[in-house]
Amino acid sequence: MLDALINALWILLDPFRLMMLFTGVAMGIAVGILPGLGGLMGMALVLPFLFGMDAYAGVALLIGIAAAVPSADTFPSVLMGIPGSSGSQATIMDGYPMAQRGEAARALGAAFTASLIGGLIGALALSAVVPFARPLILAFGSPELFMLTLLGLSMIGVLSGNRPLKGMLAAVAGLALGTIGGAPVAAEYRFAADFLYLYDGLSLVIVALGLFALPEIIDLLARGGAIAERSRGLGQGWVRGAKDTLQHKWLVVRHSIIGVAIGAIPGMGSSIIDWVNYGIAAQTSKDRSQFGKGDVRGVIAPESANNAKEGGVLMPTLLFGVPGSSAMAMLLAALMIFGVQPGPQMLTRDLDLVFVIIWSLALANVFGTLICLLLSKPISRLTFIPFQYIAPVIIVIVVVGAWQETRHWADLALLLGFGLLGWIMKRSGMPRPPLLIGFILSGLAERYLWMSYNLYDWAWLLRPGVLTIGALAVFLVVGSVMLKRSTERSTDALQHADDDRKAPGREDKP
Amino acid sequence: MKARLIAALTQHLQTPFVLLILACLVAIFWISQGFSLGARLFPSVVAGIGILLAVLELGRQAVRRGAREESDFSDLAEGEETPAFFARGLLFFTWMGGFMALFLLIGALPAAGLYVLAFLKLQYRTPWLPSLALSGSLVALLWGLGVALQLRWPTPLLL
Repeated sequence: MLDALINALWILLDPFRLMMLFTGVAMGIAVGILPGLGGLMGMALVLPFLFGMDAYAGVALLIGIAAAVPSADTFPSVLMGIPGSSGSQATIMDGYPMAQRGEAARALGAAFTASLIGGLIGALALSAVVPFARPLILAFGSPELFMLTLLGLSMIGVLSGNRPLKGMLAAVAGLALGTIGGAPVAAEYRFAADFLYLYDGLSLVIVALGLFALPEIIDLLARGGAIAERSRGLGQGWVRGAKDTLQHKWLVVRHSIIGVAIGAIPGMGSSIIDWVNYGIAAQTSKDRSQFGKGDVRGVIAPESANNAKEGGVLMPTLLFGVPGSSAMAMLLAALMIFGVQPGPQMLTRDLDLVFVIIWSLALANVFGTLICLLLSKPISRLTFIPFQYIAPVIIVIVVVGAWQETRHWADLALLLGFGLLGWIMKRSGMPRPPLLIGFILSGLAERYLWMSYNLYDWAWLLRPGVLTIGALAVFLVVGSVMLKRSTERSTDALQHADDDRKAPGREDKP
Repeated sequence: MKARLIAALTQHLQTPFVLLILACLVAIFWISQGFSLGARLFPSVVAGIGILLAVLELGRQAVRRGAREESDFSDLAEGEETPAFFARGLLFFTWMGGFMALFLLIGALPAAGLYVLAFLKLQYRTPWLPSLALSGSLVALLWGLGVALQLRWPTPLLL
């Protein structure tokens, strides 16, 4: 195991792979600072260009994007009070008031230092889990793996939106879409309507680009205007911010561990992780009077958890082949492009790759933080570029990327179709991540189901492992829904309290 | 009338959308029955579960009919459900569709340059200098990417 860990570091230190990691970090920072775009879209954009690339380099590129977004999304949260992505909403509570009183640099310094430490703790936790989880996971048979796939999918379906039924329905729709084309366990083509293009099934790249990239671009364009208004300057206090984080080291460690734990539950995702940690930090502090008014602890806690969670979401992704978040679904998609079968086999056949992912995560956090700290001034200016200049460039790259799939006109028609579908799903309150993840897991789930049925008939449903995972699924789904709802309630309370506090100030404005 | 139609589409899209999914799942279940067991098992199980979920969701929507379900639309910002927003969204989809058509008709690089220029000039009335600069830079970037990554472009249908 130690050999694989050291070997993976040498693999990653290859100049081309390091350059890809660095490119991923730069892209992650670019999409992270632009509100409305996120890691998912960044990963979807590079997916078409991974074909033919070395697997280690491609994975480093994707992990670079995923790891840099939670650091970079702090810029808009602190400077403009707009979340750069769903994981940086709670940072606004104290980061923005700090910026308003001229302490933006201090808030950013504290946030980046906390992000760095959190990210490293996440990577450490992931590497510590692999040796212990390996024997357990390798003992699973097809029925248990099928149940684990369903467990992950149910969690993501139930927790992605605000209506569990809609989320589950989206996941099932994704599984159904994945059945188009050649059947994996029989010599038959399904739902292809004699259209040769569909014999290979729908392209994952096109589904991902259509569902996630196009609707966000359209919404940002339709919203109109610049992404953000000009804010105050960054001010001074970078070193003070870093010192603040080091002074509150136990806060960082505690919230990083919470971030890893919550991140490891598929579907819990970044949208609540920051609020859970903010709430815990506020409730367990002796002096809560400054929370919501610019307390640096309100920045440190969610930021450390936000970066640490990447280590957590990689756990189910790498160990079970069940993506911990929709961004991790992209990683799974990339692994499939490279011919790597996600799931327990990775721990035997592709252990080097698993450790390359872990090293990439650790190094990307270091690179991301350094870039954010050193280039903060030019990076913060990027936020003010009107979106009309960014959108056509992204649209062209998306179309070119989609075209590389099979170079058939249907690639473009499907891209537009899935773009419309994603946009309508957004408007009809149906979460999109479960659909994508269902689509990705469809082939794997079908193989597990067929092997289970072939080996045990329907008696596989009564295996102790299957029953245990089923009970665990019910427990986790119910528990997670309760945690999510209570977090939402306390979030509302916090935001209302914040609004009430700010209300007198509004009267001062002319 | 047009505004009311768009408002109805944006605010009450969820029921027709679930009905559409239900219809697709019923079709999948029906068609699957003609396959061999290996090809039939998974789609039948998935469609069966999906039909059950869709019926439950329709039932939930019927029970809550008339109640505005704000919490369902939490990823939409304020003002994103207005008819004007919907119409703007469709307009930008049309721009995108136009680019795709150009991409196939005149080739990737000319289409990209022309599209960016037209988009910035006609839609946003951007001055010539930044429009030309962005358009030219993008074509250069695509050309560079094409060489570096050995990308293949469509054979123009018109040229």
